[in-house]
Amino acid sequence: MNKVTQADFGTPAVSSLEKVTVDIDGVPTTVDAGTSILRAARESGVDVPKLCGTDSVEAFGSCRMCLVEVEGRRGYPASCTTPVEEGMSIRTQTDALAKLRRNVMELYISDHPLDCLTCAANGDCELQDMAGVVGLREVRYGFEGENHLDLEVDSSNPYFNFDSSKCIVCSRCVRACDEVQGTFALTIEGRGFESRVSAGISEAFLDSECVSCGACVQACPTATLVERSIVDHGQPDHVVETTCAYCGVGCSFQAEMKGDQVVRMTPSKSGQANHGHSCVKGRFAWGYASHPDRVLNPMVREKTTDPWREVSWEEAIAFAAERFKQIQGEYGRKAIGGITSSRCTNEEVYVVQKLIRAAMGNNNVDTCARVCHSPTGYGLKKTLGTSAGTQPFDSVMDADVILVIGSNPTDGHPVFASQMKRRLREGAKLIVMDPREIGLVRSARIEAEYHLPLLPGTNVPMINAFAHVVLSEGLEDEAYIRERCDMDSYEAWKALILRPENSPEQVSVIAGVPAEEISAAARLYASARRGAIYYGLGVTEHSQGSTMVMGMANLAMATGNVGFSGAGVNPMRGQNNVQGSCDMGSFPHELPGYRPVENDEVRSHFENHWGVTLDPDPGYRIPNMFDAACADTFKGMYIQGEDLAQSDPNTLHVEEALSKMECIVVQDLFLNETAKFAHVFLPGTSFLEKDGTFTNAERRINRVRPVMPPRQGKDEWRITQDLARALGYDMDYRTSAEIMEEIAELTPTFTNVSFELLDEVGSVQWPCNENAPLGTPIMHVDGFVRGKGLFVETEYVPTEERTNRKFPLLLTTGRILSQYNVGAQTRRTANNIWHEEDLLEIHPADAETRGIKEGDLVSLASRKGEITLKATVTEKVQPGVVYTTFHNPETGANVVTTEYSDWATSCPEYKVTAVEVTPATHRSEWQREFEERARKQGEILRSS
Amino acid sequence: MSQRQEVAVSTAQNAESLDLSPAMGIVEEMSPVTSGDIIPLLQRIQDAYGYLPPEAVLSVCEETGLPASKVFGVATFYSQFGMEPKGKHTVRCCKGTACHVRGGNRVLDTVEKTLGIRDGETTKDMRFTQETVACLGACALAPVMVMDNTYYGKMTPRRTELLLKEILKEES
Repeated sequence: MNKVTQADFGTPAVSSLEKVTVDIDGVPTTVDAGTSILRAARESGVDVPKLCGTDSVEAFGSCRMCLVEVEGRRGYPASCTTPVEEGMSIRTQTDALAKLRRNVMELYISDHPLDCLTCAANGDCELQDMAGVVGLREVRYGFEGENHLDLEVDSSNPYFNFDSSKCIVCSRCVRACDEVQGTFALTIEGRGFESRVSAGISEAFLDSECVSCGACVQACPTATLVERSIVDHGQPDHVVETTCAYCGVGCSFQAEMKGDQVVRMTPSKSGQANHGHSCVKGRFAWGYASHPDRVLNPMVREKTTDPWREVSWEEAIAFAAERFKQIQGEYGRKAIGGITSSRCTNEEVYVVQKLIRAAMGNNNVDTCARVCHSPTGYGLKKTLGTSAGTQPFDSVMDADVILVIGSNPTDGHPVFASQMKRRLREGAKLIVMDPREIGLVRSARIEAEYHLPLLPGTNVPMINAFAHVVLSEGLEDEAYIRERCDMDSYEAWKALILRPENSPEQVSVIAGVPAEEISAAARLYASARRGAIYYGLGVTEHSQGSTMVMGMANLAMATGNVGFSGAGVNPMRGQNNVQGSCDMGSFPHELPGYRPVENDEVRSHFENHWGVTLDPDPGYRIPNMFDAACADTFKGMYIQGEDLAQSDPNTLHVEEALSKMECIVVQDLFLNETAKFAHVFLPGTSFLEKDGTFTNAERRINRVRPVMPPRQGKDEWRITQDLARALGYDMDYRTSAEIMEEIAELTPTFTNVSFELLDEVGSVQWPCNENAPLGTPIMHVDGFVRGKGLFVETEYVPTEERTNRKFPLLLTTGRILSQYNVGAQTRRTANNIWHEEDLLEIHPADAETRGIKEGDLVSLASRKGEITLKATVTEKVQPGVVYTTFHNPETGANVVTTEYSDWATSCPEYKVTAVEVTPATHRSEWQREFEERARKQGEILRSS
Repeated sequence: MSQRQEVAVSTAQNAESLDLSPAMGIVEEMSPVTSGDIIPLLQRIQDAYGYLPPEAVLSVCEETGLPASKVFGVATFYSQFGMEPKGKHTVRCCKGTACHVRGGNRVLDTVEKTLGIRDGETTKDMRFTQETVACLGACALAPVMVMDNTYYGKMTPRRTELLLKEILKEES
C-alpha cells in the first residue's frame, strides 16, 4: 500500500574487494565479504523479516525476527549479525523459523496497543507489516498482566511525538542518534521489562540534548516516534525527489505528498550529499512555504510611504520596466542594476544576470555571495585555478587530520557535521581555529586535539605561523611542491613566511594563542597523511578574507594536501546555491563560468549567443551600488531573494542608499526589510514550487523538482523573462530545462549537464564536460587547474577596525542551528522554540566588570551604531570577545557592523567590530525607529 | 520543570551542601575517562557519596565529555547503582530460592516492621536503606542478610531485630 517507503536492506552496505557467494533459499548470491546474511538476502530480493535492523545503523541482533537456518550450524542465528561465508547454504523460510518468528511477534504484540486503524503509522509501520508477514493470528497472553500501554506521550518537540506505549525497544532510535547524528541524546533506561527509550536523563525530548535532526523518527519502525504532520494529515500518496533549500550541504529529500500538500520531508538515502540524513531545518522547517505572511499577488506603489496596490502581473512588470527606462533616460544606462539570489536556482540566477547584462545593458549585477564567500572565489581561483572547493563531502571519511577554521559545522552545516563527527569518532584528529568554543571542540565522544581561540582578525598571522612551523621544521612536501607548484612563487612566499614576525612566538602575541599550541597544531596538520581544511565565513568575512583563503591554499600545497581524497581546501558554503549563483555569472566582472567580462573573446561568445552588445566594463559591486545611490548616481534595483536591509553591514548606510532610490523591485516570498523601501513587489516561489538545479558546497548539481505549481501563479524565471521583454530584450525560454541547455552551451565546466542527465544519475559535480562526462568529485587530481599551483604572499595587514578605550571589546557574529540567516524562513516555523531572539554572548569576566548578569538587557555600541539585546554569560567566548547572531530583524546586529571589507572582493568584515557593552534600560534609537517603521508599513499594508 | 532544570535548580540550592570535589577528584584520577570506564567511574562516585547524586553525575559528564544519556543508561541498568540518597546503612535481604525456603521472608518482614520501610526505601532519618536481592551466592548460610558489607547467615526474625536495635542503640 505504501508507495513511498525507501528500500531498506537491514544492515549497512559493506565494501570489500573480496566477493563471497552463498546460497539463499536455493539461489546463489554473490556479495562483498563482510555483508550480513540479512543484507545479502534482501539485496537478492529475499525479504527476511526484521524489526531492529535498518541499513542506516549497525546490526544489533535483538529482535529475533531475522533468524535463519544455516546448513551445518546449530540453532537459528540472527541473519543481521551473521556475516556471509563462502559456500554457506542459508534457508530463510522453514516451518521451525515460521513458528519462532510468530511466537516472538506474539510476545511483542502482547505489550502493544491494538489501535492500528487509528494509529498515525497505519500503512507505514514495520511492526504491523511483520505481524502480517509472520501470520500472527492470536495473542495468547492477554493484556491483563503488566504492560506499558498507559505510558504518556511526550509531545514537547514541536515536530514529532514520542509515544513510549508503542515502543518495542528495538533501539533503532538510540543507535540512529549515536551513529548517524552523533549527538548521543538517547539511551535505554532501566533493565528487563522496565527498559524504555529515554531522552537524556529521562527528560522530555525538548529538554534533552536532542537537536531534532529527525534521524530517530526516521529510524523508528512503529508510531513511537512520529512526525506531527503525519499525525495531522495521514500518510502520503506519492513522493517527489528534490533538494533542500537551506544550507550549502544540499541534502536530497523526498517530499512526501498528499495531492499538492506536503505531509513530510524525508531525507533521501540515495542523496549523494546526505546519504539519508537531515537536520531540523530541512526535515521539519518547511512550513514557511505556506505561511500566511507569504505575498501571492504582485504589488506596486508610487512612493514608499504609499499603500501597496495589488495589481496584475502585467501591470506590475510594466510599472517596473517603465520606471527603469525612465531612470536610464534621466541618469544614464548604468544607473540601474540588480542582485541575484543564492537561494534561487541556477536557472533563475542565470536569467537575472542575463536580464541585467542584456536588457539593462550594463554589468551592475552582484549576488549575496559578495557578503559571504566572494574571497573563496578569488583566493582559490588565484592559487589553484578554480573558484570552488576541492573535495566531495565523502572525502572527509578518508581524512586523518581535519583543520576547521572559522566554521561552525554543527550549527551551520549540521548534516555534514554528522559525517565529520563520525570520522572523528573513527579516530581522525581535529584542530579547531575559532574565537569561540564551537560545538565540535567538545561534544559527545569528540574532542579536538587543539582548539586555538584566536582573536577575531588574526587569521592571517595564524595561518602564516602554521606555515612558518612547517617550513622552519622541514615538514613541507618538497617533491609535491617541485612537481606541482610554481617554484618562483614558492620561494618568494617562503622568504616571507620565514620572517620572524610570522613565527609562532610573535604571532602568539597578536593572536592570543600560546606559541606551543600553534606549533603543535601545525605539526599535527603537516604530519597528516591526509590533511583536510574546512572553513567558513570566519575566514572570508574579514578585511584580509581573500588573503586568508590564499594562506590556507598555500599551506595545503606546501604540505602536499590537495588532489586526493581526505585532503583539500573546502569552503563550507552558507546558502543552498551560493556556489551556483557564483558559477552563473552573478559577479559584475564575470560572465557565467567565471569568465572576465573585459575579455573581448569571452564577450563576443556571449554576444553572438544573446544577440546583443555587452558592456565591456565591469559593473558595480553591492557596496558600490550603495555608495553610488547615496551619491545620487544609482537609482534603481531589481533584487531577487536577498534582504539587503537586514543582511548587509552598516544598516544605517544601507537604509540611506535604499531610501534614495527611485525604483526598487523586490522579488521575494515575504515583505522583508528591504521591501519596506520598495516600489514594486513581485512574489517569488518557494523551493517546493521551483523546477531547476542547486549547486552545493561540493560543486554538486542537484535537481530541484516542483511538488506543486507556483502558488503565486508564475515561475520566477518567467517573471524575470517578462521583465526583460518589457525592457525591450526578447527572451523566450519555454522551460527551465531550456535555460540549463543554454548554460551548458555557454559554460565550459557545464557542457555535459542537462536535466535528463541529472534525472538519470541523481547529481553530478562540475566540471562536467567531455573530459568528465559524469562530473569531477575531486579537483586538481593530476595537477592544478591553473597549471602550476601559485603561492601568494600573505603579508598580515591588521584591520582598521581596532579596539580602544571607548570600544574595548571585539564583536563577532554567526548563526545557530535552528535559525537560518536573516530568518525569513525559519522565523516563520516552530523553530523559534529554540531561538526566539538574538542573544549577546559575553565572557563572565567581561560581564562582571560591567555589572551584567544572565538575561540582562544590554546596549551593544560600535562606531557605527547601537542596538540593545539580552546578554548570556558564557565561557564559550573568550575574555575581550562578544558574539551574537543576526537572525532577527528587530535586533539589528548589522546596525553595529562596519563597512570595512575584504581588500580584493569587498566582502564585508562582519567578523570584527570594536564595541562596548553596557547595561541598558530601554531599546536603542535605531530599534525604536525600526519599530516605528514596521508599524507604519504594517498600517500601509492593512490599509491597502 | 524538566529533570535537567530541576537538577540545575537543586544544584544551585545545594551548591554548599553537595560538594563536587570528590567527584572531580575521581575524574582527575581516572583521566582520561572513556566510555569503557563508565561502570568503575560510577562505582567510585557511589562509594564517595553513598549514591549517585544527579548533580555530580551531570558535572562528571560535562567534565569528561561522556554523553549524559549513556551514563544514565548504565546507572539505571545495574541494580548496584542508585540515584536517590541512601541511608547510612544498607540492609539487603536475600529473596533467592534457598533463602526463601528457609524463611527469608520472615527476615524481610522483620526488617520492614522494625525500620518501617519497604524494598528500595530509606528511613526518614537517612539511617537505613532496605533492598532485596535475588541471590548473594551464600546459599549454605540461608537465609542471608547483609548489613553494609557484612554477611549475617542463618538469620531468624529475633536475631534480625536484635541486630537492628543494637545499631540503633549504639548510634543514638
